[in-house]
Amino acid sequence: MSRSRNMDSLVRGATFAAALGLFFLLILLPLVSLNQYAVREGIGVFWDRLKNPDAVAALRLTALVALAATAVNAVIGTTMAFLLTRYRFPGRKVINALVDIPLAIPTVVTGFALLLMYGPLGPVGRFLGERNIQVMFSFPGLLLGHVFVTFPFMVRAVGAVLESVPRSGEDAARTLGAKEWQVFAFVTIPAVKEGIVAGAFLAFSRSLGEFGASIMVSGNLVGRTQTGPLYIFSRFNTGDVEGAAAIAILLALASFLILLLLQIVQSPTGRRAA
Amino acid sequence: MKRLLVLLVVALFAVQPAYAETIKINLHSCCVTEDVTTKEILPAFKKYYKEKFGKDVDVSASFAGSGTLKNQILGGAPVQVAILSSELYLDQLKEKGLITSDWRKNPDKGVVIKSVIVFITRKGNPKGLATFQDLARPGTKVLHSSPDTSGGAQWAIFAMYGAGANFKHLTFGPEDGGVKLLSAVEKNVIAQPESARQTFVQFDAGFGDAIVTYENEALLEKARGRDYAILVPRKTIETEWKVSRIDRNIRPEQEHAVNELIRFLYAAEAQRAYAKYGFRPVDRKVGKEFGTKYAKVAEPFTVDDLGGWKSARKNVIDTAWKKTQGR
Repeated sequence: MSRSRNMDSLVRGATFAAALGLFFLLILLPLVSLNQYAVREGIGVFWDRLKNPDAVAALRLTALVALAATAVNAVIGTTMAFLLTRYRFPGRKVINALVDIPLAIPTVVTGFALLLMYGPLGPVGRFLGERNIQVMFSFPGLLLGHVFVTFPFMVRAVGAVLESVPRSGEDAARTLGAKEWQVFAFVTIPAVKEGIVAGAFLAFSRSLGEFGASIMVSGNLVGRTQTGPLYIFSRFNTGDVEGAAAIAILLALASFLILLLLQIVQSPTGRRAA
Repeated sequence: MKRLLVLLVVALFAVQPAYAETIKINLHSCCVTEDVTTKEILPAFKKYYKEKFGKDVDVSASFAGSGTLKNQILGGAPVQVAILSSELYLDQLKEKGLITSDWRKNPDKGVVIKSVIVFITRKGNPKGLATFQDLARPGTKVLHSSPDTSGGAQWAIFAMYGAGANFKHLTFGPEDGGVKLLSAVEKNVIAQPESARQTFVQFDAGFGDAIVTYENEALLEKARGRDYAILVPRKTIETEWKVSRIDRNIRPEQEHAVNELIRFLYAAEAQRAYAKYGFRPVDRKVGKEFGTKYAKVAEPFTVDDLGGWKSARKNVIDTAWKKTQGR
């Protein structure tokens, strides 16, 4: 039946070409045109826009917030994943579903919710306000927004690995007299290292592009609380499309490199090397 | 079942172009005009056009910040008429060849509606704020939208600058009274959201003592039942929205409807609708009808007092305001 095999390979080839073609058209081409726009006025203008002090401040803030949010989630996200996969408790399914909420609700809503909670109207905000601590429109506010938005990435990445790691190692440690925290720190954590790394990379790159929550909670103050994506938006609106495109390219490139690195780390050869 | 589904799909497509005679035009209008435009002006225009010329006209409108709208038009949005809050944006459209006519030849040099920059405070004005100078007091928390994304914010910054400036002697340097006042108020600005609307959201969430914004926005929020206090400073700027044809996008068959729409915006009916929604009409008669609705500004000034749009944008926003940021 060589004929049908030929048909098979034809179909496979066509599917392959169609998928690649669509990927190029829908995902890559828009990014390529962005690149074109960024260097339209020459590479000198591109550099000039990147060197703008407001742009540098925005990029620096974006990197800092992304790092901090990733660090926070590495701790609480991993703990959450551990609780959800290793323990059975009432309400586990509900909590498990709630973890993904940040992916489903518009990020602007997230921002507004945080404003209400930490603002003068919310109990937490009032408590802090009386002690002269302002959370919103400053770094801590941004951090809260980014932690919220990137939380599911960490939990899901670590959870997926935890599911595949048998409990026997942990049980063995317990029989040998290890305390619960020792089991967690010396057996579970090393076993899910990969998941933590994957989650961290995803959370970090998601944080780099965060817009909706940021614009609500950051205060959007140029050079102080304006992140990269907010800077891009305001540049675009003032008509400085080259400026917007230059920073956008940088953020897109950073995300791409991070995700590429993740692929390499996760590939079997990379794992062996590590 | 399957046949029913097919029928349904066919029906969906078949019903749509039933009125082929309809002339379609697109309007881009600054976001603060959304309510009055969709609820009053467009339905009234449609009726007027049908009665007077016996033809159906369908105007679809899109609303966003003026800067965003201008960018969309530059990017090829098929828009025939634009109402924008900054003449600079019209200038940019003209430079790119999208506008070839002169909007200043329309009545009132192209201005269709006006407002003034005011500020709103919490109920009962607990901090006793009355002038822009008061907003500079230490410990006062002020909100206004970002001039990078909001046309209203540009006006707000002009207002604060102008309130302190001597119009006969504008230097825009650090010794300029306007720059001094602007810098002092900016020290108290806690957030600059993307649009006027977002500013109100943050204010409602409890942030800030005052929002510097358009009077019409303040009146609209008040009409929605908010218990803000609206303060009209004795010296503040008159803001204006200008209308223009986007000539390059106008096809011959749209020509008539486009001109009629622009004319209609100046007619008493449309002006009255704008006034109902808190804008200050340019029509003198309608202005008198609604006279009591608006507080009189003791010392109003315009962007011309600041040296015109180009100079004001460059000196007040790109230079003086910029310097107050990034501390």
